[in-house]
Amino acid sequence: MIYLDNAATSFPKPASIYGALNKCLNECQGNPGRGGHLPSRMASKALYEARLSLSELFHSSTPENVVFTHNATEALNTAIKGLAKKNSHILISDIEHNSVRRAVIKLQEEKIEYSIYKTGENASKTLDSVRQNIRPNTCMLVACHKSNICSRELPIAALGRLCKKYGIYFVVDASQSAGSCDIDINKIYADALCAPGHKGLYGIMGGGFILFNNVEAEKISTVFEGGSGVNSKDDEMPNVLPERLEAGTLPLPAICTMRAGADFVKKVGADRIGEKERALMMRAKDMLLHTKGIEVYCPDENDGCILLFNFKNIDCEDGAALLDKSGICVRAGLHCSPLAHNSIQTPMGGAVRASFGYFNSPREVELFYKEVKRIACGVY
Amino acid sequence: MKRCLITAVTNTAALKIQYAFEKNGINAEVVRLPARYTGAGCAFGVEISEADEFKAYKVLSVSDVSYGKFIRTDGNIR
Repeated sequence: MIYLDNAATSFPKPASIYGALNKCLNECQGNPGRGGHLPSRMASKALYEARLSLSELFHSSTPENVVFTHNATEALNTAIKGLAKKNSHILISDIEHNSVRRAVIKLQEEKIEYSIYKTGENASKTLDSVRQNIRPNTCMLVACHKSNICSRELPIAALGRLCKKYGIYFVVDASQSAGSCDIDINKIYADALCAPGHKGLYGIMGGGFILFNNVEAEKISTVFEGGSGVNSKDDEMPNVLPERLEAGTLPLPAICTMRAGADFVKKVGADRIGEKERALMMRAKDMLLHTKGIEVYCPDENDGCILLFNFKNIDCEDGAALLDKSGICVRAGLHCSPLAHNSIQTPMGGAVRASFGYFNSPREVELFYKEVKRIACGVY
Repeated sequence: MKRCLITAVTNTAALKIQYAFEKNGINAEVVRLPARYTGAGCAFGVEISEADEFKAYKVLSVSDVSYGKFIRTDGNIR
């Protein structure tokens, strides 16, 4: 099998992930932040050490600003809905995932409007589009750091500076960038950085997080309410992070593996991981660009590990199914990002996405190319 | 041995205090606190030896760590 669907979830995982999962299941049987007994204390310690590791990875000195969630979608919904102000306006980019698009559409019910700024040509034009769309009541800008359908990267540091200038919240979706490039939350001026644990951080599925930066906890509205382990008689969630936004039991096994993944990233180096993934993508792209019967989207965008293409002779879903028969795992369709597909102008059914990971090899890229070429020639 | 409790607003805050202490050579343990110390149930704190009380206070005063009260286990609140 050749696994090229790392944008959906990374596979394989580093060996340390399996060890971390085993250790968590064996040593942390209690519910963190709840009981005073040893299993609960062990679980609390593991949870806190995960906060420390993640805050360090993103250059934050405040581990309590790491809020754990069950995935990036929950993280983005919690950050966006928590920071949105009544009767305000939110700006989102034209490459946002449905976890952002659907969240802001839902907020319209609360009289919170949204607009879409354009990306793609260059950083300067992206910033111009933001300036053109900003309104007096704009309260937030959301930016997808790296697209989940192509190798486009948004100028997040410049966007962050612009947000600071206008005094609006800056929420970054780092789902495709966390773990594959060095992100310093202070240098990008993000108020909230959201990511899953199971992609570039190599954890098992079921974990995600928000890293807040200099946001007062009481200014964040809660999306979920429930047990927090403290002050149980209070009618509201605690007004401090992370407990304010962590209602209910956390997915500790996923968090422990996320922590092990963060440690792996620190050891190897996020930039080094990203560079290897990018090199694999570039190698594949170079070959597909010279293959008859293949259309490559965003051929000039090289800031990621994702290659989006279509077979000219068959539908993307059929193409992905044929690749699957050859043991090659890619994903076809709209990838939960119809906004981005519309922006890139893929056909109605979307396209085929190959997303390369740190554990892929040049040999696998060659085999992928060979199969794509065969299908494009009509040999299947 | 006499003990000293430092109250914390949450479990995470208690862990942050514990890690700050341990980094500075103070043995510390996160404990659940009885309501008599906080006025409410479901609270956490950090327990240290009373001998480390002054050192602990110094550590907290120079750390970015929020904490509540120092309580000696004989009931003396500082």
